[in-house]
Amino acid sequence: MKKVWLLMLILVMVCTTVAFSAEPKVVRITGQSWQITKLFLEDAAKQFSAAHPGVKVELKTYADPSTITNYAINWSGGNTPVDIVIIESPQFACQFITKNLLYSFDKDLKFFDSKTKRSDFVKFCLDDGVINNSQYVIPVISEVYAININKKMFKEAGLVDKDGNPLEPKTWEDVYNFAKKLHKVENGKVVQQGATIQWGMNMYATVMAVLRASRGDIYGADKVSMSFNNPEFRNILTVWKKGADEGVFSKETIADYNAGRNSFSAGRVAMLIESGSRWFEAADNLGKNNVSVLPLPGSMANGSYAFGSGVIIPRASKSPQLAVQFIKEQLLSGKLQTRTLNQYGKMPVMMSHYKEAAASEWESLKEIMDKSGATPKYRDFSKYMTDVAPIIQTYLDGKISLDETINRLENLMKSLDKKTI
Amino acid sequence: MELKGLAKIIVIMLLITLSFFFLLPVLFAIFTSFKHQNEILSTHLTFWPHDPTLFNYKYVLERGAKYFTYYKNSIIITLGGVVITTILSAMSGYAFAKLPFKGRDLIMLLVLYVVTFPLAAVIIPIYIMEYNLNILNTNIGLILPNVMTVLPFSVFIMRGVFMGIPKELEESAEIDGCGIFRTWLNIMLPNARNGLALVMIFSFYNIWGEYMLGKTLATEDSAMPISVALTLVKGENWNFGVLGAVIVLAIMPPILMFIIFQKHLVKGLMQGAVKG
Amino acid sequence: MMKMPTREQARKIWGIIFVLPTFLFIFLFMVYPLIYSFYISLSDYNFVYDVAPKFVGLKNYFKAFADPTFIVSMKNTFCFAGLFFVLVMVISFLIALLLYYCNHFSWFFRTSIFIPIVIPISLVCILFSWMFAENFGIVNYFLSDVLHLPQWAHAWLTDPKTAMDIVILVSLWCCIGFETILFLAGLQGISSDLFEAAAVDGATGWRKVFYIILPNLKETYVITGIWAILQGLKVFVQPMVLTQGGPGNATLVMYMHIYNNAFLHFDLGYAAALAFILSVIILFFSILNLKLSSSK
Repeated sequence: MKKVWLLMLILVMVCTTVAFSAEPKVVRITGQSWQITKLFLEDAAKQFSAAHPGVKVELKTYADPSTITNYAINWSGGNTPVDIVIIESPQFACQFITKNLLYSFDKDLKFFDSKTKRSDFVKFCLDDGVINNSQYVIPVISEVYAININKKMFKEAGLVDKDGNPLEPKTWEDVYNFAKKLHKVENGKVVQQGATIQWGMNMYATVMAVLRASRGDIYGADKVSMSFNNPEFRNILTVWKKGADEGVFSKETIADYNAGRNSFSAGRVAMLIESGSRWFEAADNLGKNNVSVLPLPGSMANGSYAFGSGVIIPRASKSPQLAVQFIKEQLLSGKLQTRTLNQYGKMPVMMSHYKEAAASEWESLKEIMDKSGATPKYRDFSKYMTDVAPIIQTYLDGKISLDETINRLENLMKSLDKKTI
Repeated sequence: MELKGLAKIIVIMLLITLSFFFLLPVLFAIFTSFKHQNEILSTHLTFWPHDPTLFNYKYVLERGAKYFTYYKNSIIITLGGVVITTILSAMSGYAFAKLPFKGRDLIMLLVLYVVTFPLAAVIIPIYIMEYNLNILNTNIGLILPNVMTVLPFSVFIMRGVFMGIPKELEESAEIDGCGIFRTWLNIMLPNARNGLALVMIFSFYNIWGEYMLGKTLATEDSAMPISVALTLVKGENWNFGVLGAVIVLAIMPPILMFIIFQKHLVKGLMQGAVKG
Repeated sequence: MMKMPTREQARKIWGIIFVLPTFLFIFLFMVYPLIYSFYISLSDYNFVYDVAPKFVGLKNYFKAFADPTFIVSMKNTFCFAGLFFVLVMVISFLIALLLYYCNHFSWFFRTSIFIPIVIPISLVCILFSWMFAENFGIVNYFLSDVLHLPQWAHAWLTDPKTAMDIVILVSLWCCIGFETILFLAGLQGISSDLFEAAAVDGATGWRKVFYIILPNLKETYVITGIWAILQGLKVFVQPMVLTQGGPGNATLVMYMHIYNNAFLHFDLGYAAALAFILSVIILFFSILNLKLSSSK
């Protein structure tokens, strides 16, 4: 009898060991250092290890997005130093799709179940992570383009309604007129900038934001190419040039795409047209009551440009299920997402996580985000990203006419390979 | 060379102005590193910190113990690179200058061509190569490409230096019965001290501050050099106070080395003036 | 007399032995990537979308010369490199002369002129882009608030007319230090016998410079010239960080165009072709410099 019990004990031990060694008990995550900080990953790692004894979570940092490209070489060879990669936007995942280097969350990993439904997410965020009809990227945090404002400057200029709330610009003419009122020059020196618009490296995003907000759709008749030759965009470009020529719209982002957010945090700019998280960043320096955010003209109805960080899991990873658990339990937890929102102004991706938002502006931004459209997944999207800014900057410098600018933009769009990967 | 009177004063005034021009941004960086964020971002810009703080340094050094690894990696990579470069360039420089052999000019051109090629275009093939050789994320994996980037120009420097040494010295060594190797070791090298000092300075500061190879080939904390590690505190955009602290931490070791080895370096560079 | 031929042979053999380690090093490490890049430059190869390179011959090279952005970048690179080369050579030489003749406080002067060398260029360029910011940078603040000359305050980095000038200024700040060391080393290599002989002949001051110093710096010109050419034509970090190639494409240089094609568009074939074109241009000017310096 004793021998039988011994045998059974050994059998049970072997089975248990085999079951638990199906996946190595390590989850390795890599992200940029700001993502590690703003997602409270160190705390998340500790909590996950505490909740699952024996599981280790390793955090790594990568210097900038171009270093992830080389992971394709490791992944093609079947090895990977990481199990989860936090990428800056789903755009960065496209490079790995052709060679089938990523797990599809819905088709391979059965990510969506009764506890995590597609409808729990903000629709735009999830849609943006779909490439070739497969969910390759799970969103984690998000931002949307809007007008960050300095409330104090609005009050001083009298641009408030009878309740003391800042007036919303309903058209781009309004934006220009507000900027003119808010712009202050003393002794030939600008002491308060009316407005700064993101015209630098991220101009491609500003263009998509204003196109969508003013027309409801960035595409033209064929539903595939972005359309620039339309009266709304022509009007916007004209207003931009007028504002730039008069100095009420600052060109500082052209040389340094971060100049806008720095100047805004320093309390020197009244309106900053850029990602709608900048007002929140400035609250530390300027005071929570002095900053707010307004929708771009038209964006409450049509949406704007939204983007956000998401996660991908390479096929070479040996612990994908553990990674999925980490994502669901930590990254998508209400606690972490609300904390990120209230501390750093990065918006949650699930509808229910806005209940404990400390600021009231987040609700309207969430609505705008929900109405925004997914970023085009052209093969040559990166060419659009790099080539749009120089064309419009040349126009703002007065070197080419409006017609020539629209012409060049349309030609650029024609020259892009718009196949989805 | 001594200057007298007015000429001396003009020269000194010019040098003071120039020193000012070069030092100003460095001083600005150092002062900014001691400022609070709200002083940096205020409407009244300041040069001197009005309310000095060590907050930025605390922020950068929060990663604590890892810095020891980063500095260690940088030191190993830089010293290894400098040693290999100095030896190899001293040998080949002499060969290109004084020893005629077939195809000398062609090989010289090939060496020169290597350094004209933009690094960004070969970095992916280098990554593939190191991946296959399994030397990614190792110190040797960074020493080798770094030597590659500084070796050609160092060879050039040594070649120029050796070409400037008069033939008489060589011939007298010959008459004394020295073989080529002995000639190189005992006669040529001591006379080329300023060239060696130059090569060491050149390779040191290029390898120490090298960023592109470092960020691509050393993605793990254990192998990262300091030049890459310091940029990890960037956040979404640079906090200028932190940037100042990062610059100060990045330049401290080379400056310390310069101060410690200044005597030898100056002696090496001045070697020509002593002669004759 | 029997010694001579053997010595000559010995020299040849030793020559090869001395060069061999360097040659092997370069051959083994750089030649594989270079040849691989050359093969890629003759192919249509997008790193992420194509499974393997497809041979297309010289198509990428022809595409380069039909690409208006590439032509603009070539023009910008030549503008930058031309001005930069002249300025860095002349200014560094003059500073080296000043340091050579001045024995007072030399420790302080040398340290301050050499300090820019040890600072990481990318970090100091971020600092400079902040200093030259139009509305809130310290340069304009100094001009308008301290010197009370607001009309001199300018949109340094966002005005296409001045953007390139500032990039050149910052590059000079970074590069003059090392070039000065090179010239100084060359100056100190001139034996004092020559100076004594000139003094005997009655040459003074500027004559000394022209007749003694300039001709004896031939080897130094090779080294300083090539370094200045490399720094000029291969410029990358300064325009990338200061202006990101803007405004418009006013400061887009060839290396940046190569970087964009390799790392943003993943078009490795085209990037490799551009890289070879750039390297051949640099090689051409380097050989030119070599030939001119040795015949001077």
